[in-house]
Amino acid sequence: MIRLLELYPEHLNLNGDRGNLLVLQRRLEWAQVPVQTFVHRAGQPMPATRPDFVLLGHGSPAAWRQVYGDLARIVPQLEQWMTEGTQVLAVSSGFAALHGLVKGLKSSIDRRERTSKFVEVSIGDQSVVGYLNSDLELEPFSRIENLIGTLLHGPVLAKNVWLADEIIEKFLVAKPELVQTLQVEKFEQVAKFASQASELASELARE
Amino acid sequence: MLYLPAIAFGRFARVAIRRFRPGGGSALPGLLLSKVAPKLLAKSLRSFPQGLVVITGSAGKSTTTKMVVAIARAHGLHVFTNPSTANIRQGFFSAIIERSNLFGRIPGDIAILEMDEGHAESITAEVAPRIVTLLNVLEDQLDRFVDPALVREKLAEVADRATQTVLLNADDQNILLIDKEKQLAEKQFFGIASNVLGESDLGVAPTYLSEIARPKVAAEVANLNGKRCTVHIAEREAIFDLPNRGMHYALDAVAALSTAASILGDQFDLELAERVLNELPPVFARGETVTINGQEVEFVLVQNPTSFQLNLDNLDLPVERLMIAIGRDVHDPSWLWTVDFSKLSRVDVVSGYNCAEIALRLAYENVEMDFVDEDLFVAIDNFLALPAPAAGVKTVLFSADAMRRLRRHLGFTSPDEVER
Repeated sequence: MIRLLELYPEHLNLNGDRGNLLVLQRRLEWAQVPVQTFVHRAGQPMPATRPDFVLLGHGSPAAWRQVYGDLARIVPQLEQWMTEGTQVLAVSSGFAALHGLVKGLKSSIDRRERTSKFVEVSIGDQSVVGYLNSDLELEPFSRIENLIGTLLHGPVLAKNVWLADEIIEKFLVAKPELVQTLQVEKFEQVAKFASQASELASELARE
Repeated sequence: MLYLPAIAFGRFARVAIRRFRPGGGSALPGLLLSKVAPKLLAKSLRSFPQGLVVITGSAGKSTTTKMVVAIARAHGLHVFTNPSTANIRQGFFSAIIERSNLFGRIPGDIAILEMDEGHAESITAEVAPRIVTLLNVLEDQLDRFVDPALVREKLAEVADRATQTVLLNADDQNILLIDKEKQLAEKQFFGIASNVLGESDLGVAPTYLSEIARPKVAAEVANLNGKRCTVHIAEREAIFDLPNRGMHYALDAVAALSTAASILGDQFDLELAERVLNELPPVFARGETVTINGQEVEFVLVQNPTSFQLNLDNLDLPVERLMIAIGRDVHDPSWLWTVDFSKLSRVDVVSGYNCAEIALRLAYENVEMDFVDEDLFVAIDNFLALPAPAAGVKTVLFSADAMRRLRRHLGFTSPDEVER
């Protein structure tokens, strides 16, 4: 069983970043890998079993005033899970919120003039494309061991199939017996749309 | 005299653009004029003896404004209003070019205008409105305002500038927060009775603050059954059919009745207003059925996550023949992922500039798609060529840009003709 955990779903889906979780869930379902999604809300106890993946989405300042305190409370648990193999994707204000809480990230972030446009960044021999709508002085995409932090919406895992599959590969390396068969036509269909959408996005990014 | 060349220039540009792009070209001449004569707008809007009425908020502005205008006109007022697609500054200039004399003066007793939050804030800074109606604050338009708190700030400024009264939606905590912060003096609330509203929040942005108690309302939707709507206002009752099905239209209607009652004062005739609302045709692209080559097609405009969700939920799913077209007006397609498509199982045709974006979204929701093509004209022709559905009519959900392109393609040459 692959477990996907979403943090503060009522507060942190402002730009549809829950889609990242849906992308992983569907790709696993289409590979007939058993998958379970669950949520954590402020004030609740954290799940006892370590999840394979945690999504920390993007929310308004008003939403953050409600959940930041709880995030500060659970960060030690998240850090522990990351050392045990849990992958965390934090988007925009979600990534910003981890600064000052997670060891290894700088404690404060400067602001700059807001950018609202498609952006494409190179990651090794790959590239990541997404919609940047932020005034945070952070790299659009960064990876620190099991923590992926990005400012990009899209959702980033929908547009960048290779990244979604890299995350999934890491789940399955530990549990290879889960892979059964693939619904090839579903994978082909989303691959086509994702490549068309990201091609257009990267074109717009160059404008 | 000052504005004469500018207005003449604008008129020329409008005719020229209509020639080349029939049905289109609503914003461009206004843009030209706004560059030439920026003070014209304030001057024109100040010239109405009964002042300016501003209807603003995230959603429902067009329908509410049309209702208020129709009621006011039925009472004999000569009203200047803006077409629904022209709620931005440039759109006003276009309207002025069409309606004003060559001195920038528009004939009429009163101006009743829909404005988005941003333009309402800047325009009311130049011209104080007599009445302001605040509909709602929804969590959308993200790449302009980012935070509902910023939208509230703008709307609060607009409300504060009303010289007669402010009409407020009692069922939106954001609006109650505006009232609390500004301590508005002259105000009235409208709303939807809790037993009618049920679980629906009509997409209102959460404030995450402790809930403000619902104030006493002057007008309320007391019952809603399909299109049939009952409103209680000033201890009387109005019963009428909404132009389209849906809870949000009931909210628009009660907002419109409150606004019209405030505009007309002692002259307000509730029975007349009831008749007017009852006879209002559906708004084009908000659920209107038109006949194309002998077959009926329903067009539904989706502009943001909330209107997409409301219109999708309003369809009698499964719709046997459905097309979705998302155009270039959707700058940040991420918001397509905030719409819940889980009740949708199949779409015949997917198209528009952002075709791949919406198709990707639908594919991950396991929605079946028969024909996906970026070319809107190929797509609509394919859709129209499909056999007629056994039940219901062919339905097209489209964004504003896709709407404009399809309108030209299908030969609706006058925006007024199809928008009513």
